[in-house]
Amino acid sequence: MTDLSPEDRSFVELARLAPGPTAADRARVRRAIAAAAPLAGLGTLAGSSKAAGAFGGVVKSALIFVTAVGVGSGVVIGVAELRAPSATPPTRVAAPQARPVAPVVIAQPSEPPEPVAEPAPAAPEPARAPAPRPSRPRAPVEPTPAIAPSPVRAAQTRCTLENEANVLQTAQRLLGTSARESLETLDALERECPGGELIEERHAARALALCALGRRDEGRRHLEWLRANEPTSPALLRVRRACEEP
Amino acid sequence: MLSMTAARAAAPAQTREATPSFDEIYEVMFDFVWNLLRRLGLHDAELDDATQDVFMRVLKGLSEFQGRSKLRTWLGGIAVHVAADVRRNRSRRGGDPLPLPSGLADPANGPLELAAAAQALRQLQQLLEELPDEQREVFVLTEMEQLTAPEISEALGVNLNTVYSRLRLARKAFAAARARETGAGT
Repeated sequence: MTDLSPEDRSFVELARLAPGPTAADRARVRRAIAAAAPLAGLGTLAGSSKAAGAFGGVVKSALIFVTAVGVGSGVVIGVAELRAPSATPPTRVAAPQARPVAPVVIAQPSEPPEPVAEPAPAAPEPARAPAPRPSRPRAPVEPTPAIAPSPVRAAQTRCTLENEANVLQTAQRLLGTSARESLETLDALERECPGGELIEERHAARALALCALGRRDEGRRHLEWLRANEPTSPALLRVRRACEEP
Repeated sequence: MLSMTAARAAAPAQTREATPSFDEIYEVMFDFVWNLLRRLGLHDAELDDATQDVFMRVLKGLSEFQGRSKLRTWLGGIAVHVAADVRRNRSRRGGDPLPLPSGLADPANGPLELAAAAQALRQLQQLLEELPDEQREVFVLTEMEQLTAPEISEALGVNLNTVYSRLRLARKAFAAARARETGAGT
């Protein structure tokens, strides 16, 4: 059969190396699926394994979260789950306060967040306001407005889920080289975008950074928050190892 | 439950009891589906919804997926159909200009190699626009996703000889388009 010439094959091979989807892409679509599945009569994703019979479970409320903490050496970010609450929801405990530090610049992730010309609409919280097609179309690039955006508008632009996930991913990467820089990145994120959606991941990343710096007492407070509020967090084991094992 | 490694391998020997969960499939196959849809010519603004459609169909069909085919074959077939639907709907709307792939337009986005790869993908997409859909699908599945002809035959539900025929035509058309683009062979 006619094959490609070596030049054409090299060209195709080069195109294959183009960057693929980001962790934010993965998380965004996953959230959309989690929201759409119940509406399509497919149950919740928590029961989407081969045990299809589990689809019928009624979920009174659900919690979307995005796992941003690596397992082992790899960074796993963006695996969202729709979880049914346990019969006895864990008691929320007060979150430890982040230690105030001097302003720093948020480190740029290796995969920079997509440029957003205007505040992207927040991804719908599926359990609260599900929509048949909740996937968020990307905001088209608009001409730069003649007037500077208001601080609120600017903050809304910065503090998208994608940006939050990307910054957390950067903090996670920095853990391998500099726990201090990782912590500074987390501090900057907290300062720029307090609260946010990825609370669990923020606590886990902060605990890992603090314990890596030898500030175990502070790290353990975040570990306790995870235990109390996210007892099934996939990050818990890693945080425990970092903060409790000698 | 399959481990990620096992699911990634998607061995043909998968059995009913080894059917991976949706979460495992999503974890392992997301990049494949996303890249395939993009390579099949979907625009940035279409990728989210199209990828969602693919995985919704996976979710719907998972209980009947018996592991007789590879995950890549199964999802590849779904993605091809979804992409065809999207392109059809787009042309009904009068078509849209081909936008640059996301994050790929600016060579300053990353290292030189990534910029070159991004540029190559953009050129490739423009060249593939000239191919009929059925040839483009076979070309992408073969040359970019590296599925075998029998796998493509199964994914598309067409005769094996049809796959070979489309691939031959697609390669010929692609080579001609490339030669015209680069000025070679003229």
